[in-house]
Amino acid sequence: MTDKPILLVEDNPDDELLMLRALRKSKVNREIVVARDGVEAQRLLDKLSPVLVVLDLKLPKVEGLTVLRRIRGDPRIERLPVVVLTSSREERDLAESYAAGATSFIRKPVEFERFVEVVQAVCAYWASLNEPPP
Amino acid sequence: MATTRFKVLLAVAAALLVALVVSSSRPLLAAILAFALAGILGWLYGAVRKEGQARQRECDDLRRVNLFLDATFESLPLMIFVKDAEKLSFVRVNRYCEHLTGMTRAQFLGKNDFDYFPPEQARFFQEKDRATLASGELTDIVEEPIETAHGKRWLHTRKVPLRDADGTPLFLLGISEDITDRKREAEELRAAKEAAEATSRELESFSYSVSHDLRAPLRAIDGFSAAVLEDYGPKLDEEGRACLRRVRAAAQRMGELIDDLLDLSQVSRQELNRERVNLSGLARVILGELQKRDPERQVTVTIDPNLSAECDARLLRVALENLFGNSWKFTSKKPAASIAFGRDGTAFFVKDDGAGFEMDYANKLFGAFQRLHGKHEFEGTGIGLATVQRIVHRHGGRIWAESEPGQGATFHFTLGPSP
Repeated sequence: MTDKPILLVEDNPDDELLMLRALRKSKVNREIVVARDGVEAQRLLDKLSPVLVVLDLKLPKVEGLTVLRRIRGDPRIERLPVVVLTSSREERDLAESYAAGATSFIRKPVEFERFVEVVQAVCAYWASLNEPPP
Repeated sequence: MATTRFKVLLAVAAALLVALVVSSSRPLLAAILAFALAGILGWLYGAVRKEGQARQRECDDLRRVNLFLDATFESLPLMIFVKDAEKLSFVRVNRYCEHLTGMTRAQFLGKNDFDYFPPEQARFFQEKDRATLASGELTDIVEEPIETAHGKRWLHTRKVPLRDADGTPLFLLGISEDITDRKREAEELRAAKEAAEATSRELESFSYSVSHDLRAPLRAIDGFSAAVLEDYGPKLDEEGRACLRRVRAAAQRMGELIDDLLDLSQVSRQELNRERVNLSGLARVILGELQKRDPERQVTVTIDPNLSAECDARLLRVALENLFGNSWKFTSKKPAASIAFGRDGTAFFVKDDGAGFEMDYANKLFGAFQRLHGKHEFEGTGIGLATVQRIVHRHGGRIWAESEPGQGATFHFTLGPSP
């Protein structure tokens, strides 16, 4: 069980570094695999079977929402928890994310302590506390 | 009927006259006949006079009707023309026709459309004329162009066939309304609406991009400054650490500003959905949340229990959060404060006994980024009241404030055309 990684889909290297830093200091003992665009995300999804996908919306090549829709349309991974973690809190993003089947929608805070809290809480819940679907 | 009776009586009178002449040798008979004749002639005279008076009255009535029709025909702000059914030449035009085309009626009479208008226009007019006369029905031409002395005008025209009893076309009556101005206004309105929609779309994509792209660098500035403080803090002196803390504070503040600006723009973009909203209940919820955030604060809250309005529930929540948030903030230095929400005539009010402000600066209150208090006194981005004002304006309402330094502030607002 514990060998299943968390797939982080994030194109911003700063956010990636900050998130990895936040997780290093948490109790989450999971490998973090990073996909830097939508195409890579799909390739990795086929190869790994992650316990959780943390998904940014604005991505190069293939948009986050497209990645999400493909996950929900694929019988093998349709029940995979997908947490949208993005800068925006535009109504449109919120509505479209949930319509596409997001498990959760979280806005990245600017303040680092809060950002750490959010990342740790999300990963701790979905990667440790939650019993994944069979 | 009357004429038949006249004829009979005239015949009788003639017969009596003949009999009178014949019977002149018999005086008694002659006297009786003469008497009868005089009676009949007297009656006839009266009847003829009455008939003449009736004719006169009919004539007067007809003249009056004509006068009325003429005045109507000439004074209507519509172009009216009558054409001969056969040659389609003008037999009559009204004053407005002269005004609109810039030609005198003398120029019209006896001529047809080909004498004044470009051939394709004249052809169009005459085709419609002939079709109208042939069908015997009214033709409605919603929009047709016409070349006049003042340039191209647009007409809404109705053509009516005038036919005699056996259906032979006599005249064609045309009535045209000049719709040029109305058409132009409609086009201007459509253009303005399109421009507004384009602006709104641009604003939408601008906000979208701000929302996604502008906050990310701030997160990096704050995050990496925090990382430096955490990992290398001991290697820096106090001034170096203080500088980094300032960098972080500024990044966080800019994050708040961006959020508030996005909220302000959201207020303008969001569609207005009016429904009956229980404002008293909303106020209780918001003030309850504020109290929960600062449980140690002593604030007496007075809410009129029956406040409601036809308004957008989500926007009003934002407005009241800002107004009560302000009151909460500006009473924070008082050990025991009070905040009231009520109605005064058609306007609602939010009243507090906090720091207040000088009325000299009241006009600056509702501008974005305008602050009347220093940051060291009270926190804030200066966008709250601009947001409230925009919400009130979107409802067609008005907002104004009264205050005195140290004496608290009262904000009044209306929400447009609701009772």
